[in-house]
Amino acid sequence: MNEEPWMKDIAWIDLMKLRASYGISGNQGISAYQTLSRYGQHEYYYNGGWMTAIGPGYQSGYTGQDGIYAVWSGIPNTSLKWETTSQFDLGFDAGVLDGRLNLTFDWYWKHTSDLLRERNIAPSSGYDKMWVNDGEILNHGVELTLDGIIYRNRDWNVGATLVLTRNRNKVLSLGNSIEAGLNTDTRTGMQYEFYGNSLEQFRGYTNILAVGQPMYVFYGYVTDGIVQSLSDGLSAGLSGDDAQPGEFRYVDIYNGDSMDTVDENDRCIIGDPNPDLLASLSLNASYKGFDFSVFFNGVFGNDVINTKRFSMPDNMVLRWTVDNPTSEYPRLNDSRQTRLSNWWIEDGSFVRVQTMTLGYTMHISKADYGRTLRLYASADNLYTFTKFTGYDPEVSPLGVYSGGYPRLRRVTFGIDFNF
Amino acid sequence: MRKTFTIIAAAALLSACSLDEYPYGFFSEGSFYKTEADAQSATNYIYDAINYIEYSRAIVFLGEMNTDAMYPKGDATQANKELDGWKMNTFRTNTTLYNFYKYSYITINRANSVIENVGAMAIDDNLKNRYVGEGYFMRAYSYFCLARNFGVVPLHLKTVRNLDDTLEPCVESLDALWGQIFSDLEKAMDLMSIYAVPETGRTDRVAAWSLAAKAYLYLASAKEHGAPQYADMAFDVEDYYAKAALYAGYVVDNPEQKTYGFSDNLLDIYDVEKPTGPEHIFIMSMDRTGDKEGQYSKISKMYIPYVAGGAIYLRQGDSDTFIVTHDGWSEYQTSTDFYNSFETGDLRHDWLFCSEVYDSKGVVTASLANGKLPYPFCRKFIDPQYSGDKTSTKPMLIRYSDVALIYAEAAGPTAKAYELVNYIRNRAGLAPLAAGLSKDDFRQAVWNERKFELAFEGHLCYDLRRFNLMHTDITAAKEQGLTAEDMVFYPIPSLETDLNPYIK
Repeated sequence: MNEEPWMKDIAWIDLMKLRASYGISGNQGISAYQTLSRYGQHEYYYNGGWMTAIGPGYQSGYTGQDGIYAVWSGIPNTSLKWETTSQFDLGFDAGVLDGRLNLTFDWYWKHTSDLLRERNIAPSSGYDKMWVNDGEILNHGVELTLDGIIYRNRDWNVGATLVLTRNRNKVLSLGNSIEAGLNTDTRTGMQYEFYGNSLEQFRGYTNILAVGQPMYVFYGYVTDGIVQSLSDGLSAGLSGDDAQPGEFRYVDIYNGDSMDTVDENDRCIIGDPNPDLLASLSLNASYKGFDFSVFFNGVFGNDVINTKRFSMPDNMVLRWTVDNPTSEYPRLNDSRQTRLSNWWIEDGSFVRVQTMTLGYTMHISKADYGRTLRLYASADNLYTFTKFTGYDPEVSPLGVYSGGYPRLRRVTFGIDFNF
Repeated sequence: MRKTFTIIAAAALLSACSLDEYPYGFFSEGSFYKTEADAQSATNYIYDAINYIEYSRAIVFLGEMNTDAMYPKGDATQANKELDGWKMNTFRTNTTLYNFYKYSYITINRANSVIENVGAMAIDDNLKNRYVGEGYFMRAYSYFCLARNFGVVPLHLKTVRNLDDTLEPCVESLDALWGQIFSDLEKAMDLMSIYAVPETGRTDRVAAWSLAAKAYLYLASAKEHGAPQYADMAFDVEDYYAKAALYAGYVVDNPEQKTYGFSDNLLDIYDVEKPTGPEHIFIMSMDRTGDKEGQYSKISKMYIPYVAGGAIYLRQGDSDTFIVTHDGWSEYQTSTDFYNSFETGDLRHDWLFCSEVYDSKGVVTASLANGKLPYPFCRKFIDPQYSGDKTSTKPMLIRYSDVALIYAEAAGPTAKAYELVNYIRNRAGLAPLAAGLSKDDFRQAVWNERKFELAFEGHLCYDLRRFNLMHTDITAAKEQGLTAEDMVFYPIPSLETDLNPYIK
């Protein structure tokens, strides 16, 4: 564009370019032979020795507390094919002010069909999971990169790069609802399937793929504080141990069953693990022999299930007791059968100071300018700004935080010689 | 010579030109079921499913933990406590119930595959009939387990081969479900023969007769006692009692059947080295040399209490010999009420429930009396050759004495029935039953005998179910005011209803 005759003469524009592209790509990201039934093999003790046992279904993994239970797979899917994505991209590049500021902007629209995914299947089939591809997903979003030199003179050089990404996705279809065995949300008619692994803590799945919704949204109950008395619990539609003081006060949101009870029909979408915005910013500055750089990484607007929310050391004193009738935390009850609810969901947004480096370079010999000595200090994962209460808000795309150790913070001091 | 060579080379090239690609490293439906060994491996795979800990523990556990005879230790896993306490609103997500349900169907799918695929193989007819018969038996056994616990459930009668096959609605009625069980058992009886000696971890025609007798008696007594839902079933109670007596009679009153019988010594029944003893019509097959739990068993650890974390010695009957076992985890504890409910002098109490343990020299180290033993424990599952936690202790699924008591209960106070019950009582050191009991009193007496003879082998809860005594004889349920209707079946697990839109 900048070479067009009507633009050629504008001195402060170095580069200006419009891009458009369209393409179709395939993804076959599963292991081989999924179109064949896969048999399992085990040793069975018979007649005083170990004999081979072979048959339908193989153990594809472990599940349950301590991973002592088997996960069974092996149903063939003869109609498996490539997952196809058609992508349309519009871009705009610009460079102005003699290379001082560069901008790249992209808008994309990505339609994926024959969505490949490992589905959970009903246990009465004798299996846990199988590969299918019959859904459609839409992703669209924008990406913006700004790269600039903020200030430069003989001693100073200050620059920055900012990258912003915003993606939206939506499940358009999950195949034929009867064939695919989709569930229907009784209250809204939404069709969905459970996705991911069931969590022992909630004794069920946490994520769903639902038609018309972003991928992997959380599906569970809504809570409204804590039950304060048995009559409070009963009037909220709870029963048995659930209605006792100090328990979660789940909300009876579905009344179509003309029952004032909390049951599976009272589940709804309670969170979205997809971020609204991803951002990163890097700043570089140098003054004479000193150099400084810092890299920030940020994720905004995503929900995270904090499975450790009840067992954090600092909230133990805040739990409900008769003397502390709080509506924030339930009572200590190791026999509680906990349901997944919005109580466990936190804002997973964070800004992390990913790396920061400070250095100083000296010239060892005036005669040979290449011989230098650099002293530096560098830190990784220096600090995280977040409201998330677990150790680390950066979790997998399914948005489930399951504890573990805090991310390592590392500080390095170094000396570089150049001879 | 040269010409011959050319022909051979050409033939070799032609035959090598197949474009079918078979995967290496695993078997597939299309690449299996070729040889007799394959047919045998496929049949082994059915039985292999019931050995997984998700299933093998629950098989015994669901017969006792939910009654007043057994209770879990204080810090037991949640699922055990819920079952013990009859926490009904947790049952849909109870992991024990879910795993029991799931593994019943894994067994069913493997059985379906043998019925279809081995049934279509061109192998020796005797072998084929045996394997396919075992397939029908195991399918019947699994649906029997499901029906007693969950009532109507999805019915899978074909191998699951694609996504469409994975979803079935619940069968329309209890009559239809039990009808399927009986029809499978008829086929199993026709196809199988009687083993010359009991084969550990495999079943034969006697097992099919036994299970049929068990199933007919279960329904007859459930309907007679007015158990909810069973009371509405279509069959005739007397007809089913007669069928139960008929099939049990094939086992206990049949000169052709010489393989199975009573063990005359109580301790021999539970001798881990004698799984082919005459009592064992159907016993799981596990061995301490296995790699993973399920191949070996830890069921011993569940019943035995923690004593001092090492070897303990138990007195053999009333002799002065002692045998060694590891101590355990105190998971399945005997209730004092149950322990005290045995008749005085009952050897099944004195010999099979331990109130004292010893060191290698026969000196008492822990006892109920000195407070070091938390409860009198069941020693039916011990292995003196244990290796660490690994044992060969095997849950007993169908035992000759069980079938003898089924016969007695079904037939009523006949001479043969008295003879069988009195054999069992005599073996336990007890006086014979009073002569001349009425049919009802006799049946009640036999039912009572089951409680002690089959204690902690996974039967009590089902006996309460079929006598419609769940809501009256289980304290935890009575305290909550649960009704017979509430308790007649466990709810279908939510992981099924979440994934199967045909069931709500």
